Amino acid sequence: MKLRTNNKKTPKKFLLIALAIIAGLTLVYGVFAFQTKAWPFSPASTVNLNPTSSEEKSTGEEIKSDSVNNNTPPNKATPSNDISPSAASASVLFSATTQDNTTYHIRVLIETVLDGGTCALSLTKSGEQTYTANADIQSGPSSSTCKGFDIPLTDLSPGTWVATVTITSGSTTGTATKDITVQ
Amino acid sequence: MKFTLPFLVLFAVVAGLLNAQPASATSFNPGRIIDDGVFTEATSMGVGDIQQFLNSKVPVCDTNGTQTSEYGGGTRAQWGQANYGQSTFTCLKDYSENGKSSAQIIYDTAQQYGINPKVMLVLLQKEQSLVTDTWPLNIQYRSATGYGCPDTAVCDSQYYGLTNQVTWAAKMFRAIINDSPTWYTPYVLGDNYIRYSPDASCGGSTVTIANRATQALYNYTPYQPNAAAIAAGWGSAPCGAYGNRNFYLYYTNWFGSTTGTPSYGYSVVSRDVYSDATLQTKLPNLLTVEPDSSFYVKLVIRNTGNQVWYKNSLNIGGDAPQNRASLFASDTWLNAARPATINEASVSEGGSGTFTFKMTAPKELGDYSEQFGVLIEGNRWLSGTLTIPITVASSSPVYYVKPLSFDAYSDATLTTKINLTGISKYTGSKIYIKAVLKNTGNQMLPVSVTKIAPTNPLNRSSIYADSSWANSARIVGAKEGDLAPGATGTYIYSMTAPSAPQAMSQEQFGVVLEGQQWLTENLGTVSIQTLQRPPSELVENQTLKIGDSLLSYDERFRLVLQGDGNLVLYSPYRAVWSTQTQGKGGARLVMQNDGNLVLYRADWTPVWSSNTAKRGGGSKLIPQTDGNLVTYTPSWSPTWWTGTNGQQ
Repeated sequence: MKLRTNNKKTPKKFLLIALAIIAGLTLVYGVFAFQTKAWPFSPASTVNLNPTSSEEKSTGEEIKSDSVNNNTPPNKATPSNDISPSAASASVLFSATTQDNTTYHIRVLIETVLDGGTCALSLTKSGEQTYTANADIQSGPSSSTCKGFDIPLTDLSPGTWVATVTITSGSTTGTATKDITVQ
Repeated sequence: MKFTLPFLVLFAVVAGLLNAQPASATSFNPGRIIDDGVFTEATSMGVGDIQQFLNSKVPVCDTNGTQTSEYGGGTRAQWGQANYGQSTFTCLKDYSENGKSSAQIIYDTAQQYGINPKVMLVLLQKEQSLVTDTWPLNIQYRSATGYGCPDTAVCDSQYYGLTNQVTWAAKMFRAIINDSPTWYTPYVLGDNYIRYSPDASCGGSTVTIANRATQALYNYTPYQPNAAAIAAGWGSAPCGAYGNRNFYLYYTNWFGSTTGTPSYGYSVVSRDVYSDATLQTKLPNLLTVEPDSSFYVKLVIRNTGNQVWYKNSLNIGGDAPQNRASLFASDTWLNAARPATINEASVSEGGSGTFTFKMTAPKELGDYSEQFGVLIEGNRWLSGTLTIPITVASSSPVYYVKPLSFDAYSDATLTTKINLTGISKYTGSKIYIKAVLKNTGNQMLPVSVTKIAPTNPLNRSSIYADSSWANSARIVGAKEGDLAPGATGTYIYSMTAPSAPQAMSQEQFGVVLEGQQWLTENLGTVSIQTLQRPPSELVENQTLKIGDSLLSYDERFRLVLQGDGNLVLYSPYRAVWSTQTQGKGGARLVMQNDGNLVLYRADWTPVWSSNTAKRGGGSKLIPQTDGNLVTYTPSWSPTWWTGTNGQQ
């Protein structure tokens, strides 16, 4: 048998086959990418890589300015001969006063970072015994709090109580008072 | 085909444009600044991603301070030297500590404490502007996340240093996310009073903190932005506190939404049953237990959603139907429909939560399929059901019955059901009871000794006993006869109102195995009272006054002299006849000795009559069971009738 060959048509045939392969691969990748959320079907990046915007920059400068103002430059610090600690007062407020089925929860915000100390809580209701409790102070990033007051409702009768918390940390003291309602 | 690639590129560009989201403080939610799932997504960025991000924000760092100082005093180098003794500046993208790049420090800390590195980056920016600053001072790194930096005082030296600062911040975040019992916060989930500023005169408001991540941010910056600060966007306003607002703005601008789309789900990691409370001795999966015995379940499930689970919020509950009270509830359960909450304080996405609870088998033998679901209390049930097949069986004799139904009927054919409460019957009239129960023990219940009986107290004699009862304290056995284990028995009996009126009482019934035990003391209860039966006839010289009535023997037809003076005959469903004398002053109906039936006013003037005078003495008026109202002579000759027989 004689083989029939056509050398003149080989380059065109090769080109068609190559194009078909490329198109096929593109289609296969398209399906794969769609199913796997690969490019270009991947979700747009949630990270904004644009340069800092003017708003971000100006707010950042404000933040830096506040930080600089809160830290006295060491080269500007005034030497002091007074080595005795002076009494200071800390701002204290009741941040949460809530009740669940069994417990009355009292939380306190102390608006300064304190290193140790104690909180004394007293609850008074006219004509009834005063409830008292103590807790240590826990410092936070920019403030402090009392290590919780979780009072069993069995210790409190329903009605309005006057809550007073007094904090002491070294020479720093502070106090806050609030009426709370026990149901 | 040749358009495929351009199309894909175009699609990507369009998708990217659609994802661009402008930041606005107006969508800031003070109770939910960021979702727990977003806050704890520790794998959101790798070290390279962090470095690339930092590079993008500060393309050129003013390392030598050659630019003019924003604070005056010449160049930044000159101002820095004069005030802080530094004339060169290292931007965060180039910063390192102990041989670790800032990106590596941020990444490592995020992984160690399970906090999103994006959160840490925003924290560094909102506290010290370190991400965007082109000439940061050493003091900014010293207190990089503001930890130990009160708003009203200088920073605390014990927390100095980038690594130290990032670590303390992440450690605190994780403690709050985990609701650590040793880490107290000024704010709690729920209602809190949060000021607008450290200046007390600026006031504040109640904020309902919805999640731990928001609680953690308030532990960092214990103030909320007021309306003016929100309206100012990136700007400032009187009494404004910007820490949490700026966190929200930077996060949204750089990384997209802080809330994302919440997803909820779980998969079962393990489910084991133990015979002991210490969970040492495992029981087989095909569980067979004795009645009243207890066993212990340990269930571990994985959080496949993106929301954090919390103790006392994520519970297991009776399912199919939801909130089903389980017969296997024990003293460790929250209630009969809630076996337990998760043991862990919190479980993040991908983490595992554990339920352990005791189950106590009911007395009733049988095959049970106890189905439970996982729910976020007050929020949603997670998809899926957990099934524990349990066989309650005993090798010892067990006598037990399960009541299936207990109903009352007005008729002996048991076709008209009546409510079990508030039943009123006339003296001598009956109601009919049908009770069905199942022998759920493992012993035969002989009909000769297994009877329905009055209870509360046991062996009580009932005044409603009648001839269908064995005696006043025992009623009947099952009509099917002896009941084998698993068989269903039907008990039918009547109750007859006694001859004298009785106040409302509770007639409770149980089932007794004569001479051995009570199988149940509360099969069902009938609330019933006995009323005086009205007369069924009006004889010669008798009078029916306003409000009085005659009742047919079958209690279906009633003749009433109404308050409006109308004499009306009622069927069980409607008025079938009347004298139509309403408003004419009729006050008494008299069956006269002359045979005439007359309705008189109070002054004895007649309003209506049957016109049967002189038909003979000794007549009587009878509302018949066929619905006809008839006057008869003593020889039962009808002299007058309404002709309403057959009407209903």
